[in-house]
Amino acid sequence: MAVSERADVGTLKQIGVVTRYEILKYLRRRRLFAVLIIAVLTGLLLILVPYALNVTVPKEAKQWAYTFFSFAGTLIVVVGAFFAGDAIASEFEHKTGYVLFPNPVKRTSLVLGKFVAGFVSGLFPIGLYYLLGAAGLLSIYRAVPLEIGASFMYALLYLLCVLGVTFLFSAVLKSSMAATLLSFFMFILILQIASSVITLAAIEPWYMPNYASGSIIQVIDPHQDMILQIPGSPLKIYQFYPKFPVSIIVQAIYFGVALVLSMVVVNRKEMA
Amino acid sequence: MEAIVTEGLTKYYGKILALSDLNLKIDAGHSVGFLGPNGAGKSTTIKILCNLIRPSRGKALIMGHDAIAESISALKNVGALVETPEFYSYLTPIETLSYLGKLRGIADHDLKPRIQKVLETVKLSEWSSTKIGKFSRGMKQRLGIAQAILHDPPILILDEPALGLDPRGTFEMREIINGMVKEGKTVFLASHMLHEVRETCDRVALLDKGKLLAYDRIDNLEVIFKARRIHVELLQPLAPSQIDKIRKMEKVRMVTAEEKGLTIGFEGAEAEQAQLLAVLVKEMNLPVVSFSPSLEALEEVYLQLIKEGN
Repeated sequence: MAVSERADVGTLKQIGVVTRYEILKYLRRRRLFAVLIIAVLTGLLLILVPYALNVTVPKEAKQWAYTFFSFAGTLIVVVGAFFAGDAIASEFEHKTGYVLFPNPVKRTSLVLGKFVAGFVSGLFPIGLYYLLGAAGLLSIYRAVPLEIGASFMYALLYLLCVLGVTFLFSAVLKSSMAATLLSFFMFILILQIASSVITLAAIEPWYMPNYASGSIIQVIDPHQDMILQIPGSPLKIYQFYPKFPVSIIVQAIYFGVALVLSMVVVNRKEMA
Repeated sequence: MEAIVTEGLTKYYGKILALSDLNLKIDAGHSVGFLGPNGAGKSTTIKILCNLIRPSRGKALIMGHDAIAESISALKNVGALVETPEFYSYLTPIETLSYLGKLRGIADHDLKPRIQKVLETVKLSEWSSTKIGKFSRGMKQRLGIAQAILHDPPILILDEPALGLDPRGTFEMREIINGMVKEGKTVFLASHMLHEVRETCDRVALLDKGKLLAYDRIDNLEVIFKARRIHVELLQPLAPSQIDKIRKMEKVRMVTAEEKGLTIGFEGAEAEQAQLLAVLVKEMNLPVVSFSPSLEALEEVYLQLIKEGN
């Protein structure tokens, strides 16, 4: 039986095929389900626990939203680790690349397809978290500030940034687990410590992606940089807040550079 | 038309030389066995042809396309089975083949019947909707063959295709490969199993320590290395005079008599084998039950070459 192969499949079509099957992976491995549960539990806890403990809610909706959405960054890091940690490394580690790579498909298309799948899958838990936040705002304040929409856009930008960096780890490292853990601890711990140390030296860490991601809540309730002087002590505490054009550019650069680098690495990586 | 060409193909892993200046030309429609001990460079060659690794020097061409620089054009012509294939455990064979078929751009109306056909061919129809995570090694190997032939490629590159298969599976695998050869496809088969190569290939390339030791038709090699042996089974034992007569025949190198049979060391090609059989049956009136070239001949060539190489 003759099989009619199309002369040129087209890069976009191939990216679409990879995206579909990668999303199927997240569904079958119940990762999407797990992250959705994390998003729902986090949201519900933030809404219900203050009620259960009789904690007085802030007077202004923006203040409540500022606290609620300050957890969005952590959720995005979890999403990144879940959906991108093993995206590339597993093809080499589990030898599935022996079946996938000897096909007439550019490795760049494979990386892009997997990236799109990670981003699309990430939209669901983050979108759900924002919906829960909006529902909380409606139930408490009978209003949803417009800035929540802008915050969601910043959250998506940070998702791109985290996915890009995690893809780079996944491309460089041999182990999926190592890439997942490195990504998680990099954003949750290492970059946080580095940012704090830099801040102590009175330098604004505007170039750090985790600092730039602060724009997710800064857009809801903008804060000004300040210096706190402790009376009777020479010690000064600096508090910086991300500035919008800079934070967008920084995150976009991390996303773009990391994704391009991961494609370069995958193109050069040998399946020995 | 040359289906596969390697020119000065060399590969180092760090300081270790895995493949040294390999020059090979495989014409379209031929089936070539790629033989060699572990670490000979067989898998390295196949991986370069499949764009999984890059050569340190030289180049590999598939249907005239550089396997690395023009990998998309080159791989359109290839169905490959590299090492022991691993698949996504959460997919079924149908889903896996759909994925790979769609990536190759197989038209939708062709894909479904084609998947059913290849799954029947490799005897996996019964498990077509079972998650691959539950598959044995042999079943994965069958699926590996299915994905290699899914797009009906003109060139098949197979690395130890019978690995992990039971005797029946090995036989079925051989039948599949023979079917491909009969269809005029080019088959490049790396294997340790000399019997498998003898049964499916018309030529062999012998490789050791990254170097090509010989590349020729199997019967030519057997003649060159005086390795051809013919087993003759008889109804009754021969008299010493009859054995002497055979020993003195042209192209006969040696004769070993067994209880009801003979092993003849023979230097002739296939036509001369036919003559020998005619002499035994017609002139000497021997009660021949069977007359067959020994499958051990290729093994002897292989061992001689490896020994000389060392």
